[in-house]
Amino acid sequence: MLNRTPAQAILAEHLSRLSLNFLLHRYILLLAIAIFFFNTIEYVAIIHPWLDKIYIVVFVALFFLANKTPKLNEHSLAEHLNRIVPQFEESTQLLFKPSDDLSVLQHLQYQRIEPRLLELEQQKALATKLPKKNLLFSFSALVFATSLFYLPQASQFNREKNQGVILPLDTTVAIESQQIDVFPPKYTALTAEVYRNRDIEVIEGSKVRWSFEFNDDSKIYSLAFADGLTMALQKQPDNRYFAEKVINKTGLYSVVASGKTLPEVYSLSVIKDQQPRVRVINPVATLVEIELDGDPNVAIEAMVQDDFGITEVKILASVAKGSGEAVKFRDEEFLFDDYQLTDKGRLYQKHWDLKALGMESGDEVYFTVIATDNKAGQGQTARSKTVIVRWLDEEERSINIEGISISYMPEFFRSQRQIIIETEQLIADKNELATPKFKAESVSLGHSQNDLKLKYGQYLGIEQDEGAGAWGGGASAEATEQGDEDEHQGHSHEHEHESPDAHEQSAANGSQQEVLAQFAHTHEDVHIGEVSSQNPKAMMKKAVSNMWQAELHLMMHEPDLALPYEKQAYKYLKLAQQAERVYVKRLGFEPPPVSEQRRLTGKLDQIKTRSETTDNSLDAQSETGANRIFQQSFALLNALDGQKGLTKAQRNLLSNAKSTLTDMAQQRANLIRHAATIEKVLISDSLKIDGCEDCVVKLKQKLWQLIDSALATPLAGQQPYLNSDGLIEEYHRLGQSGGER
Amino acid sequence: MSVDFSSWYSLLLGGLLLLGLGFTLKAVKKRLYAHSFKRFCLVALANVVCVLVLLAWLGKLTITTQVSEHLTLLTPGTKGDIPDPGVFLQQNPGLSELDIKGYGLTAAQLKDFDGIKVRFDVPEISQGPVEVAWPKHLFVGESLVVTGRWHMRDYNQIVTVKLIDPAGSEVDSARVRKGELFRLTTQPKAQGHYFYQLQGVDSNGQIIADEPVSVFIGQSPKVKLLVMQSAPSFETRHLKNWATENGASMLLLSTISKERYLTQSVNLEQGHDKTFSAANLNDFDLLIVDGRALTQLPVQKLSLIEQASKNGLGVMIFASQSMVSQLKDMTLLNGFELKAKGPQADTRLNMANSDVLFNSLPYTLAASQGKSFEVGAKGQVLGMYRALGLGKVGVSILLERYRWRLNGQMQQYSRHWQSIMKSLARVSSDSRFLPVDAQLLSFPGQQLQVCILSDQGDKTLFWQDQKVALNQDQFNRFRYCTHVWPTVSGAQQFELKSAEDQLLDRLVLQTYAATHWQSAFAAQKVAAGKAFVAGQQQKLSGQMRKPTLNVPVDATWYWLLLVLFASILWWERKWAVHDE
Repeated sequence: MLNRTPAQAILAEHLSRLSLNFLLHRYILLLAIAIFFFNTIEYVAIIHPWLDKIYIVVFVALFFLANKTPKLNEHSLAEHLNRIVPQFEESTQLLFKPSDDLSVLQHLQYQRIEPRLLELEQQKALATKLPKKNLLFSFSALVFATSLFYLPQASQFNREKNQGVILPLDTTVAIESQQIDVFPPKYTALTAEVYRNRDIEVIEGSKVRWSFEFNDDSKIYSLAFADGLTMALQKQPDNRYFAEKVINKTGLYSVVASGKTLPEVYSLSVIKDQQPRVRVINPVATLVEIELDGDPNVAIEAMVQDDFGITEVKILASVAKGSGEAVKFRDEEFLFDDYQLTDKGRLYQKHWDLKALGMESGDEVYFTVIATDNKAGQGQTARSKTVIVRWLDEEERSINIEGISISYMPEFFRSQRQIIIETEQLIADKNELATPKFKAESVSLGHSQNDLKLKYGQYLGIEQDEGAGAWGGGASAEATEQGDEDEHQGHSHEHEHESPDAHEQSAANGSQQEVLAQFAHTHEDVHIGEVSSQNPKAMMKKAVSNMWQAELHLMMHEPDLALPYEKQAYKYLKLAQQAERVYVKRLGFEPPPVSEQRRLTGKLDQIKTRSETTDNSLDAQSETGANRIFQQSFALLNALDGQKGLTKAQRNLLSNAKSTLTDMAQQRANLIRHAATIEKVLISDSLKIDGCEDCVVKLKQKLWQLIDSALATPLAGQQPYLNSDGLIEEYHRLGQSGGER
Repeated sequence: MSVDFSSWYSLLLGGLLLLGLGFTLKAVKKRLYAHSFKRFCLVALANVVCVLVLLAWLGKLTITTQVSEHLTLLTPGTKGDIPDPGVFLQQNPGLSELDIKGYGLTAAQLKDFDGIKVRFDVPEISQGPVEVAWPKHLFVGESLVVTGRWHMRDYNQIVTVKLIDPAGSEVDSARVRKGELFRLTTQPKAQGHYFYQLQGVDSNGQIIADEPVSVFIGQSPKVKLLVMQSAPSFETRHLKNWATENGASMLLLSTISKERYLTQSVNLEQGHDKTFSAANLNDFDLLIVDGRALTQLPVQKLSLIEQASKNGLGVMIFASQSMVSQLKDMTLLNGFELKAKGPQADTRLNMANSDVLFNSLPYTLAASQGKSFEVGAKGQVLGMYRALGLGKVGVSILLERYRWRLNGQMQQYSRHWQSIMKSLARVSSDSRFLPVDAQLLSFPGQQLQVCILSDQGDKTLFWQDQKVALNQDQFNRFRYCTHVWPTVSGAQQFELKSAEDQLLDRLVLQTYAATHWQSAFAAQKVAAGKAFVAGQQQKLSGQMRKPTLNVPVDATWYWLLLVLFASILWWERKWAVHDE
């Protein structure tokens, strides 16, 4: 070991520490670069088969460039210290030299700066650490590069927009064999399936593994998806090509061989995990009233269904105590006591003692049943209708019903309209849905119709008891029976409605409305007769009667027969709604009309004659995008009819229609077939698709269904003459002279 | 009798013959005239006859003779070889009596057989729709109404006639027996050329007929609306929103306070007159005015409206209580009557095809020689109009049409206003296609007539991108028609363009394949055949055609005459030698 001076020892220590810092910094940076390249090289490979080689060259070059940083040695340390410590007077290099090698002058300088070095070292004022920002940069780069691991399917995908572009076709390549394995998400507990058909239908979140064998191994294969994504098919040692992807969206895909598309297009339909269906079976009515001296126990039963499994079912209850401004709410959650497995799902049961909830007469509890399914990630939650349990005080009994019934009406109307919309949709999709699914949808709508009907039943004070049994088991049969029953009731209501002495009969029924009518209709309004002719209750009974029929047909998987009844029900609900409005309006204050003498007699200083000019015409672009695309596409398909060779504009239009259908297919998976038809039309450049003769016809039918009805437009007179016609003028002249005579 | 010297050689030879005859007669005269006049005459005559015979032979002399040919024409519906009617007539010019077998000919084809005695045995038509009619050209919002009867042999059989939309969904149906009328209605969704299907389904559910119903939904011409109101109202506000969003121009003159007015112009060109003036009234197509605003107008302005209406302006008046007492003072409202209803009368009503309840004024509306344009579901007349000169004046007691909008029923609202405008607004002066016959069924090889209305004859009509000639109507000088003969089935595209090549109107008609509409087409032909035969029976026998034929003279006669007179000439020369 050489004898070091104290200064040299200090400097050596600093040099060692700095070197370590430098190495660490460089290592992190190079690691970040390496991870970045690793995570992105497959994207590059998809763009072009040779690009990944170039990419590797770039990576190596960059790696070496990053590695080739200046070496840290005594000289560079001395330079560094000279720069940052002025006290060394640009003479730090002298400190590294042996004292024997120093000249006299250098020796004198050495003696001047050595104490300064020692002093600075003692004060720990020598800044020989790497700047923190350098390390921060390196760490940031590392974090960024590492985060690329977590990009969705980052190692395999590349986004490429190719809408409306004519992809070259490769008809030389053929798929010799294929196997498509579908692995449903674990939470579904379903086993893996093997598809022989390339059109596949999978549960949302399933992993699909494609394995193909082609007749030409010299090409590079990938799967191209309709949304522009492509995925490389990896070649295996046994010459099979393999790729896998987790499928969350309905879409289309095709096989691409070295940049050329194979002529077939396949659909990828995603079956969404359904939300749990929660129905409160008991109590049947939305509003349960317990008399002051009644039994304050409530038995709750809820039927919960889900396609894959339920993880949690609970009751969310709000207890309202007090009245008026003093009312206080308390939210609580309860679990059910028990559940039974039935054909229809799990039947949860709970026995509720209102007193145990801390309730007294006059209090109310609003509860809803919340069910969560076992969907991976986060379970889907669904709520039942809210049921109100009211423990009545003596004096409030007769007041509440009228107000509640009116406030609930709009909710009912929306629901009935929704049922109609969904029934129409179901009828439209009938040909595309598998029979079991179609039946299930129809029954599901029947249940919804039943819900609505029961709500009205309790509003009208009739048929509250029949519903639970109907839903609990043997729904179809009971629906028929009850439908007949109700029809009889419906007839009797009609008689009541037509009877001139409606009030007497209504009062006999004991309904609150009639009771009110008896006492409230005593004023001398001349229009009272009309109010009774538009009796909202009669209308609602007719609506309920139609709901029975609609439900019956829905339960029997006949939505087309149910639809007219649904519409009738909706119509009567609307009439009831309007009648109710009128009733309220007529009771209100109607000011006398303002006479001409009184009108327009105020001060007019602030009121000016003014003029406004606007341009309100809607151009074609402002029409709903999807509707316009479907209209134009329908017209195009009609006009083409066998023509081969699409123009660029036509291709763009059809591509837009395909994209729109694909987007809509996320909610209505069967639409993806029609998107596939468009893709096939685009690929074959003709409306004639091999092996699918009626695809275009079905596509046209679907487009027509999807087109909204246009509004009528203002129209001038369309008589087959012009007013400037001589004969017409003569006729006019003769008419005038005749008139004058 | 006629000769034909149209060919150059017959003309040349004929000329040479006549020249030769001249020289010959001169020589004959020189030789015989002084010697023997009788002989001269004989020789001259013989020469002339010979030349004439030669000329007749050269000119292919024909003689017109009356003929009477009785033939049978086989038409579709028979099993024989069916000739083309036009060719058949050309091939049989002597036709005087014709038996038509099968379904017969169309009315246009039968015109060619005018004057020929036609016997037509009416055959049994195959089962299917007959007398089918529907508008071939509609505007957006108008209903497609298909009417007809179902022909079948058995009266007790019931057929369900269905109208199927382009998506294959049933939109309307009717159950009919033999000969019963069906009426199916639907609302086409959007502009364009669409095919509906008319299906007949028997009691076993079998489809027994399936015919395409082609309809073209065009763009409606723009309309200009003028609104005068005593105060801003929801009715006109909603009307403004719908009408102007759909291309109409509108000027609203509203009283907002005493002698204070709000003028709103929407979609009107810059600098458009915004005052109440005669010129403006003549510029707009429909004036919408409330009763109170109308009664507040001075007499001069009322007479301006009246005059404008006589010139074609449509006037729509929302009746009001204040208007009733002054009804008789306004000549504009001559003929209208508003009678108060009793206090218990129903003023709330449904409109046809609607579940929305409306209010109306408590009056009964009547108009002498008027027509209704707004009718309640129970047949209550709510709006009536009368013709006034070239225009129409309508009065309505219906209130708050915008309830449709409030109930989200925009379809009903827009259709209602469209029908009001169609009934009342000024006749469109735009160049346009005239409605096509609702019973038209076009087939390949059949004549297809399309007519346009245009105030100037500089418009051009294109059929399948080819310009076609337009012929002016001799009675209606603004009506121009063309006839085309499609040779193949398919869509026939017609485009009406201005002199500047700007597209003015479009029309698409369908030429059906021969396999379509067979029963309906057969019924049309049978009806035309019956009408033709009935028309013939009313004609006098003198009006019937007496066909003649130009029969070429037999060449033997030429030869005999030539030999005879040439022999005379030869003998005359011999006699001359003998005499000498």
